[in-house]
Amino acid sequence: MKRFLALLCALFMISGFAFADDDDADIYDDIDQGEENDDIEFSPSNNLNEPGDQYIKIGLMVTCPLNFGGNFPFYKEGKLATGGAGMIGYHRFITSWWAAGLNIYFGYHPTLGENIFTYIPFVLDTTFQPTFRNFEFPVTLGVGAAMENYLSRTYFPGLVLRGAAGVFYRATPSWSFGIEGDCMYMPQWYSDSKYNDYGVFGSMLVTARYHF
Amino acid sequence: MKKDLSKYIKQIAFSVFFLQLLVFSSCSGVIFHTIRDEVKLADAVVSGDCQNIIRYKDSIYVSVGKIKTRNVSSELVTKKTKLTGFSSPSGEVFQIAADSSNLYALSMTYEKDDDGFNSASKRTLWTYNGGKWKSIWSKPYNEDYETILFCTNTSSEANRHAYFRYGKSVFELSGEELGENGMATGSADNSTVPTASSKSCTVLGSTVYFSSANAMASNESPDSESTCIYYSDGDKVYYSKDGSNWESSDLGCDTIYSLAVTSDYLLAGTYSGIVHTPLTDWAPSSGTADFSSNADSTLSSYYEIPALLVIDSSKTELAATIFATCLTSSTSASLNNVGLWSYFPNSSGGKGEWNRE
Repeated sequence: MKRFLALLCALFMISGFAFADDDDADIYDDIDQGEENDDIEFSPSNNLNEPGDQYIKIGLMVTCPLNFGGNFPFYKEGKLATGGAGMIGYHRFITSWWAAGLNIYFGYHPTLGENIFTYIPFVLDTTFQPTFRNFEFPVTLGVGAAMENYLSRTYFPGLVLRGAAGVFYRATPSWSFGIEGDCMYMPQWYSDSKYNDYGVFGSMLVTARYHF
Repeated sequence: MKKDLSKYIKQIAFSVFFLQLLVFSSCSGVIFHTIRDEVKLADAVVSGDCQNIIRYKDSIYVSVGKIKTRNVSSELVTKKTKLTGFSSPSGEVFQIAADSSNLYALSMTYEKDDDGFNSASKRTLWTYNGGKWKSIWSKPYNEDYETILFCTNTSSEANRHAYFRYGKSVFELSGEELGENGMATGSADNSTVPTASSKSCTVLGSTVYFSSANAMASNESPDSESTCIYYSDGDKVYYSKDGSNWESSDLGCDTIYSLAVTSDYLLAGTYSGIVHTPLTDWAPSSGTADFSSNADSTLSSYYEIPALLVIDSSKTELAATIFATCLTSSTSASLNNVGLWSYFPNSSGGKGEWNRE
C-alpha cells in the first residue's frame, strides 16, 4: 500500500506538466494578440520544437522477454516467448528539448504452457530530445503502473520502469517517423516473498508521431 | 482548434488512467512465479469430453466416446506411456465403471430426426469381462430419467463395486441383466444405504457408503484399507473416520466435482480448476494452498475437472501418480487441453509435472 501511495504521488507530481498553463508559452497566442500589443514581435526559430508543442505517438513493438530463458529472437524454449505490443501516447514539450507525457501499452506474450501473459502499462515519460537538422534523438525515462494478467489472475498495480532511446526523422512539420529501443522492468511483489519476481522486456518500436 | 485537441487528449488520458486505478486497485495473483513453473505440453492422445477415470484389473480406463486404457501396475505406474484404444460397445460411450470382475459402459445411440439433426434415441448399459461386450440394460432416451453409472474405484480389487441409477432406482451391477427392481433405497444420505438421488460412493474399510454428492473418495491405498472417507457439498468437504460422525472444511473454492487423496493433500477438481488443501491426520484444512507443481498453469481456472484419480493414496502428492480429466468452463479455455491429464513424479526426486495424455 505504501508503495502504491508513493507511486501515486509521483504520478501526480509529473502529471502537473500536462496541465500546466500554456498562455505564456504559446507563441501562436502571442501572434494572435499582435494587433493589440505592438511590443510583441514574431521571432522565427530554427528549433524543430518549441515549449508548448505537443505530439501524439503511435507505435508497434516486438517485445522479447529477457529473463525467462530461451534464445533470441523468438525465445520459444523460454517460459515466455517473444510477443508484441501496441502503444499510444501524448507528450508535451516543456522546453525545446524536454517533453513529458503519458504512454499506454497493450502487450502480450505466449507462455511455454500455451497460456497468454498480457499487460497494460500506463507510463509517465520524460523525454530529452536533442535534434540535428531533421533528425530527432529522443532519450526517455518513464515510471508507471501496469495491469498484468495471466489466466484469471490480475496483478495491479505493478510498478513499471522504462528506458528508451531512438531516432526520428521529421518528414513534415506535423509528422515524424522513427524507431526506438525500449527496456521495461516490471517487478511483482507479494506478501509471501518467495513469490517475488520481475520481468525485463526489451522491445523494438516502429513509431509515428503527429506534432501539433 | 489546437487548444481543443490538447484539452480533449488530456481529459481522455487522465480519465482512463484514474479509472483504471479505481477499477483494478488491490487485485493480485502470483503470475511470473507461476509462469516459471510451466512446462512444454505434449500432444494429446486422449482428447475430448472425458467424465471418468476407472480402475479395472491393473489398468485405468477412460472414455471419450470410445474407450482407451493404459496399465498402471507397480512396474509401469510412474512411467508415462500412451493410452491405447480398447474394444468399445456400439454407440457413444459417455460413462464407464468397474467392479472386481467386470467393466461397464453406458452408451448413447443417436438417430437423425426429421430436420436432419442427430438426437439421442437410446441408452444402453454394457458389461465386459474379457470376451465381448454384452448389453444388460437398454431403454429409449427419456430426459426425465437421469442415468448415473458410478463405482467405488478403489485400489483394492476386492472393494470394487459398481452401481447404476436410472431415475430413482439404484442397481448393484454384477455382470448380469438388470431386473425390474433395484436395491432398497433409504432417505439418509452419506450412509451405507443408497438414496433415490445417489450418484457417488466409496469404501470405508470394506463397507460401501453412498452419497448424492458430486464426489466421494477415501484414503485407501494398495497396501491398507481406508480409515477416512470424504464427500463434497458445493465448496465444502465433509470427512468421517467412522461413517457416522461427519466434520467439514470449507475450501472456499468453486463447486467441487471430484476428490482424490494423497498422504499430505486432498485434491479437489472444481468447476474452475484443480485445488488442494493440506491434510492433518487425514483431516482437510480450510481454504486452499498453492501448488508447487505446474497444476496452477495447466488445470487452471479456465477448466472444469470432473474426475481425479490418485493411484496410491499412501504417497505424497509430489510422489504420487495422478490422473485428471478436463473440460472447458471459460471462453478463454483452449480446446487442445480438453481431455486426460496426468502427473508423474520426477524419477530423480523433487516435483514432477502435469502434462496432457
